[in-house]
Amino acid sequence: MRTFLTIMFSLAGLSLAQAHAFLDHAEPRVGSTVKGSPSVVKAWFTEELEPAFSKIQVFDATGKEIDKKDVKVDSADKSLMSVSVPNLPAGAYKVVWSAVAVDTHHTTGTFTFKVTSP
Amino acid sequence: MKKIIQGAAIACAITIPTAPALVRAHGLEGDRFFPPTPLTDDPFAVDELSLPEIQYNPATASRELDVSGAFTKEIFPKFALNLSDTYINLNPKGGPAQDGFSPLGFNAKYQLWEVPEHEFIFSIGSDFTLGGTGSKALPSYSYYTTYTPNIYFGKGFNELPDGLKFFRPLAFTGVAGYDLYANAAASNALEWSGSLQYSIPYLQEHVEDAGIPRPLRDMIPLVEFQMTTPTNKDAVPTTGSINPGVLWEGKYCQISLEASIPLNSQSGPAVGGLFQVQIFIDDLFPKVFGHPLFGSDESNNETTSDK
Repeated sequence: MRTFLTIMFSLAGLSLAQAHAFLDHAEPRVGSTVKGSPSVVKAWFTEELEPAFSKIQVFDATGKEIDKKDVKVDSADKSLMSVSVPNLPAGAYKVVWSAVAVDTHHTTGTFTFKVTSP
Repeated sequence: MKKIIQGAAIACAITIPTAPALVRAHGLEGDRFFPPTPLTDDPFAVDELSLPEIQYNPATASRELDVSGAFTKEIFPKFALNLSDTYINLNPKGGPAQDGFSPLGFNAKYQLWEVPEHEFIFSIGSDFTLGGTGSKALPSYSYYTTYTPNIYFGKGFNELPDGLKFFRPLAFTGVAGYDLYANAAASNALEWSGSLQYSIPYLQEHVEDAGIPRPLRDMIPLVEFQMTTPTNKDAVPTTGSINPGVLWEGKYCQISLEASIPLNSQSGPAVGGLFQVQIFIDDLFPKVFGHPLFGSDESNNETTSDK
């Protein structure tokens, strides 16, 4: 039993090291309040992402998408996805992300942050 | 037994170094991840492997050690079949030990209703325990098959207002079923269990990044209960246990540790415990598992990222 599990997991860990991508952390931080508008919203994930099928959007309190729709996955750090935003007035914002890991596992999620006047 | 425990520990120890970050699989509904828990069958019909689950009750008349294994395979989108069995070791005080396998257990489950924005899922299914397939050495041996139609549900607390946002990581899962014995003389019973969970990953990812470090941020404290209420006229009262514990979510496996506190004297005289390793086979072997045998799972992917 021990030998079987050891071999199975050793092989799996070495050759199949991909899984679902979940949010690790973000900038602005999840649930945070920031002074002044950020210029970009960044989200780091637990796996490398497939750029063609991953996206991140930012919505204002009325539900209108306000990001610049220039989503990109960082070429040097494929676990980092970002999108630019215009100068955001004070208010609450919702980030919606959809991540496809390089092994095609698909996950989605949301979080919010607030902006106050600088 | 010792070898099995060692094997499980080694298996997870090997996966931990390859898992610098948390990744969970299986049941998501909206932002909510509903982990498989040891005593409350989760409402998701997805590929799962539980190996082993070890339950120890040291203070019953026969000190009991159970080692269980279960495998679930999604056959059609949102419909899965499960096979399980348990190796039971009884050590009666003053008597010889008794060992053997329990009857084979089967389960069929279908995800009937999902509302991702409300983190809600409702499923239906049935357990089948095949009479005559267990070890005759065990006192619980029975020739009679048991059918247990079940309902399953899960609900997250995501709708709580901002003033109560730190309660949003709470979620509840439950199962209720009714044992129907093929033998009319046997006592039918209502089986009901549930779990109340507080997900630290949910807090960090969806409510507020409180800067909680790993491995704490990968943990889900919970309380489970598992009850049996016989329905025959001369039946004993409800028996069961309350089980506080914690789950740890790794990249390829989940480890659960729970205490088992008897509900009353009929349930047992002292505290026991259980340990479970849940292996995320769809992450380990994505080309083999994580897909229904027949049909497309695209619609399931959009609402529950369990593939």
